[in-house]
Amino acid sequence: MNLSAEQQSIIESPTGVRTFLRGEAGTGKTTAGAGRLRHLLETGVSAHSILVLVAQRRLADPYLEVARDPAGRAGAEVTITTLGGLARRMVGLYWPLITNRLSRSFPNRRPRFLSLEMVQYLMFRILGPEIDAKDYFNSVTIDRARLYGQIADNLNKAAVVGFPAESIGARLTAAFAGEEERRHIFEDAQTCASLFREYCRRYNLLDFSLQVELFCQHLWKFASPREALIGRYRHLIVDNLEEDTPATHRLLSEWVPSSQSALLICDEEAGYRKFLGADDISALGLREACDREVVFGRTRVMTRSMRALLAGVVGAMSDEAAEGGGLERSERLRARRAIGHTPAARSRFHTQMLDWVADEVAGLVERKRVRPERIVVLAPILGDSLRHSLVSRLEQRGVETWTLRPSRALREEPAAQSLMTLAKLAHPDWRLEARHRPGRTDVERMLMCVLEGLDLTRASLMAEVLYRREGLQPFTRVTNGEMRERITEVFGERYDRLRAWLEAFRRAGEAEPLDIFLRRLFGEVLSQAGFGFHQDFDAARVASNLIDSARSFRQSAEGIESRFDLGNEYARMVDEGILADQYEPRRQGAGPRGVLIAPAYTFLLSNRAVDYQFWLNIDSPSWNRRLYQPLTQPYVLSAQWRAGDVWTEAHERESSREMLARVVAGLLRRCRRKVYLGLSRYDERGYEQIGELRVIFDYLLRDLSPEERKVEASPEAES
Amino acid sequence: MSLPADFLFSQSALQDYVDCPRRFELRYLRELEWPALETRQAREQEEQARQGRDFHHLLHQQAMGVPVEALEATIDDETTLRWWRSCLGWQEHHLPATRHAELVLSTPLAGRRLMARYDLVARMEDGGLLIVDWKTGRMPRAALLAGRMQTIVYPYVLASAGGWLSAGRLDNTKTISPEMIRPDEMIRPEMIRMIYWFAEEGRTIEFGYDEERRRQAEERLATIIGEIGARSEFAPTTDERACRFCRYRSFCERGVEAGDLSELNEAKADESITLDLDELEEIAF
Ligand code: SF4
Repeated sequence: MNLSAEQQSIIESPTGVRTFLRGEAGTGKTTAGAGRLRHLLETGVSAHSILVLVAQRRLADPYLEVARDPAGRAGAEVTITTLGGLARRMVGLYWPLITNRLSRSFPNRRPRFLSLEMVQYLMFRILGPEIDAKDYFNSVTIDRARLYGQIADNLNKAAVVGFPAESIGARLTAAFAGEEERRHIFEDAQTCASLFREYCRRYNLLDFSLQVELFCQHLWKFASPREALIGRYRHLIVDNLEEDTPATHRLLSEWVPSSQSALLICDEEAGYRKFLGADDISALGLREACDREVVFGRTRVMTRSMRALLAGVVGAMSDEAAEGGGLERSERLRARRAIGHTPAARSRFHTQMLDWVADEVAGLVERKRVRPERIVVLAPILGDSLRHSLVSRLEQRGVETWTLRPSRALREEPAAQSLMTLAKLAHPDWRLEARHRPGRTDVERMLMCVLEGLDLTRASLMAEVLYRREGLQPFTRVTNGEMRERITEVFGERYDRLRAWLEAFRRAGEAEPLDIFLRRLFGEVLSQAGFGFHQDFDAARVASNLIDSARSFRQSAEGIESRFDLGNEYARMVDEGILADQYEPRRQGAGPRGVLIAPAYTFLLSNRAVDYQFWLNIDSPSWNRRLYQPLTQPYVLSAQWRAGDVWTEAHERESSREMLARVVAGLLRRCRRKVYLGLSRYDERGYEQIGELRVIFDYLLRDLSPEERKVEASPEAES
Repeated sequence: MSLPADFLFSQSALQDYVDCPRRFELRYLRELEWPALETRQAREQEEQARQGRDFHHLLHQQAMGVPVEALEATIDDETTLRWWRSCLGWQEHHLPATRHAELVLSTPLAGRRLMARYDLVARMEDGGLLIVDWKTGRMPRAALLAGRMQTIVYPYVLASAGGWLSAGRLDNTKTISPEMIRPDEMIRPEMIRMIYWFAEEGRTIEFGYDEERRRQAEERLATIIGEIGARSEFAPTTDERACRFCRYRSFCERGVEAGDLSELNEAKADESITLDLDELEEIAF
C-alpha cells in the first residue's frame, strides 16, 4: 500500500510521543493507526504492552488484521478491546475490592454480568407488574420491549456521560417543552430506573451501566487495578474517539500522560453513535493530553467527481443554499457524473425503484465486472420485508448478497418460533394462558419448518387433521386413504417420529431445563436427515442463538431470589418479543462475500469504503428523522447539554439537519466512484413522501440543458 | 472451503483436526453452529465446566494480586474450596514469585499463526520458565496426555515467543528490538517445563523439554498446518466412537443420541473448559 508522507510520519513517530490525529473520513487515519501498530510490533515493542481501544467491535478489524498477520513476529498478543470489554474484565477480576459498593445482603456473592436481553427480562419481571399497577407511562403508546430498552439506555447514558443515575428524570423534565400531562413519564422513567438499579445492587447483577460505573468511578481509583493497567499497557492506540463516550475520554485523559506512546485518532464531522452516548466534542478535549496534534486533510478515497459531489451537497445543505449547491458549472457537471438515479419512468412506486436498483447492481457486476464486495446498498431503516425484497431480486439476477442488520426479535424467526411451539407442546405442565398456547397456524408453520420439503398445503392439512387441543395426534390414526395419500407416507412417518419423541419426553416426566430439552430435540430429531434443520444452516444458527439465550436466561435467573418456572417464563418472553436474535457474523474482517445490504448508520460505523453506493428511497423522511424515543433524549442526556436549557422544535430541526449533513458527508467520503440514488414517490405502504435528502439532491439534479445531459451520460472517467 | 489467510491456530483447533478433519472444517472453516448435545448428562457436564471456569478465574484473580482471604470469601461450594486450598498449598512449595496468568503468545509457523493461551507461566530463579495448566477434569495417564496437542503446542509456542519472559523483560517501558535480544536471552528449550496440576487429586503430571522435542514438535505442527492449508476436503473420522461425543453427529449422519459422560475419554473430559478458555478472547469485547 502506498502511504503518504504524513501517514509515514505518524507510523514512525518515536516512542515517547503522544499524538492526537484528526481528519475527515477517508483521509487515511485508520490506515496510519494500523500501520503504527505494525511498526511498534516490528520494532520490538512487546505486544503485551500495547492496548488498542475502539468504540465498537467492528472498528477493530484493521487492527486485528495486523495483530494476526501470519508473518508477524513471535510474541505476546496485542489487547484490542472496547471500554465495555475492559470494564467487564477488570470488574470481574478485582471484584472483591469493590464488592462493598453493592449488595449489603450478599456482599461476597460473585457478580453476574447481565446481557442486554437479561436486562430486558428482569425489567419485564420487576418493572412490568409495577407499571401495570401504578399505570405508569399512560400518556405514551410504546411496546414494552422498547420501553425497557429506553430505561436501560438512560441508565447507560448516566454511566458513560457521568451523571448520577438518580438525576435522569430531573434532567429530562427540565429540558422538556411538551404538553404538561406528558411530563410525568420522565418521573415514571426515573422510578423504573431506580427500582431496577436497586434490584441489581441487591443481587450483584451488573448491567452495562453498573459495569462502567464500577470500573470508572471506583476500581480506577484503586492503586492495584489502575497500576496493573497503566503499568502493562504503555502504548495506546485509540481509534474513532468521536464514537466513544465521555467515560472513555476521561479515562484516557488520565492514562495518556503516563503512557510511553499514544496515538489518538478522531474523525471529524462524525459522531454517529450519539444516540448511545458518543461525544465528539469531549473527544477533542484529549488534545490537551497529547504532545502534538496532526490533521489529515487530503482524501485517499474519493475521485474528483466524488469530491465535487460532496462539495455540492455541502453547499446545498448550507443555510445559504444556492442553485446547484453553489458549484461552478464545470464542477456541477463533474459532480453529476458521480450520481446515478432512478429514471422518472421507474420512480413512482417503491417496487419499481427496487427493480431498478437490482438491475443496476447486476449490470455493474456482470457488465462492468465490479466485484460485489465493492458495492453496498443502503437504507435509512432496513426492515425484514425490504431486506427480503432486495435479496430476492438480487438473487434472481445471480448477485450474491450479505446483510448487516440490527438484531430482531426471536419471535420473528420461523426457526425459533417452531422450536418454541414444540417446547410448548411438550410441556403441558407450563399451563400457559390461552394467548400463549400454540394455535393451528403455529403448528402449521412449525411443521413446514421442521419437516424437510413439506409445502404449505400439506402443512395446513396436517395441522388441521392432526392437531387437537390435547396435542399432536399420531398419523397412524388417520385411516382415510385419500387423506393419507395427500399427506404422503413419507411426511406421515417423519411426523410420527417427531411426535413419538415428544410423547416419550412427556411420559418420562423429567424436569429438564428448556435449553437442554431443545438441544436434545435438535440433535435427536430436527437436525437428523429428513428434518428441516439438517440442511438449513441459517435455521441451525437461529436455533443455536435461541438455545444460548435460554441457557443464559436460566443461569442468570437461577441465582436470583425466587424460584419460578423458567421454561414457562422464557416462552412468554419470546412471545412478547423481548428476546432478540443477536446475529453478528463472526469473521468480520474478511466480511462475507457479496453485495452488502445494510442500514446507513451500520455501514458508517463499519468504517470502510466501497466503489459504489446505492441509497434506497432518498424521498423518505426516515433519512433525517430520529427514532421515536419518548423516554429518553440523547442530546439532553449528553455532557454538552447546558442545565436550564429547554429542548425546542428549533433544536430538533437543527439537530436533525446536522445529523443528516454528517450522514450524507460520511457516506460520500466512503464512496470511491458513484452514488446511485433510489427515488420513489410512494413508500412501501403506498404513501406519498418527500424528505429533506431528496430536496438536497434536487439542487444538483434539476435543470439540465441538452448539452449537459450528454456530458452527464458520459462514463465517469476518473482517476 | 479453504482456510482464511489470517486463521489463528490454537491447540484446540489442531486437536479437533487430529481427532476428525471434518469436525475442524465444520467448526472453524464453516463456523457451523450446531447446538446438539455432546453428552447425555448435559447438566452434569455444564456444572463441571462451571466449576472449572470459576476455579480458573479465582487463580487468575489471585495472580493479579487480589488478597487470598477476600477471594476465599467468594467461594460458595465445597469442591471449589477444597481445590482452592489444595492449590494454594501446592503453589507455596512449587511456584516462584514471578507469575503471569492468562498469558497469550503466538508465533508464525508454516505461513500461519499459532497461538497458545496459558493459565500460568512462572519464571524460575535461573530464568527457566514453568508452564502450569490447571485441570479440573479426571487425571489421565501421562502417556495419553503426552500425545495431546496442548502438550505439544504450549512448550513449542513458549520456546518461540517467550524469550522476553525468560530474559526478565517484564519492564514494559523498554522497547526491545530484535538486535537487542542477546542470544543468551533467548529461551533454550531445556529451560522450559510444563506441569498439569489436577485439582481433584492435588497431583501433577510434568513434562520436560529439550531441543529434540522442540524440533519434532515443529515438524509435526508444520506438517499438520500445511496439510490443513492445502486441503479443500475434510474427511470424517474413521473412529466412529468420537462421533458419540460430537455435536455434529446428526449433520454427519453418525448417530442419534449423545454418549455417556462417564465414557468420555479421560483426556477429553476437561476439553469443554479448555475450549471456553480458548474462546475468551472473543469475550474481551
Ligand atoms: S460426527 Fe464424527 S465425523 Fe462428524 S464431525 Fe463429529 S467426529 Fe467428525
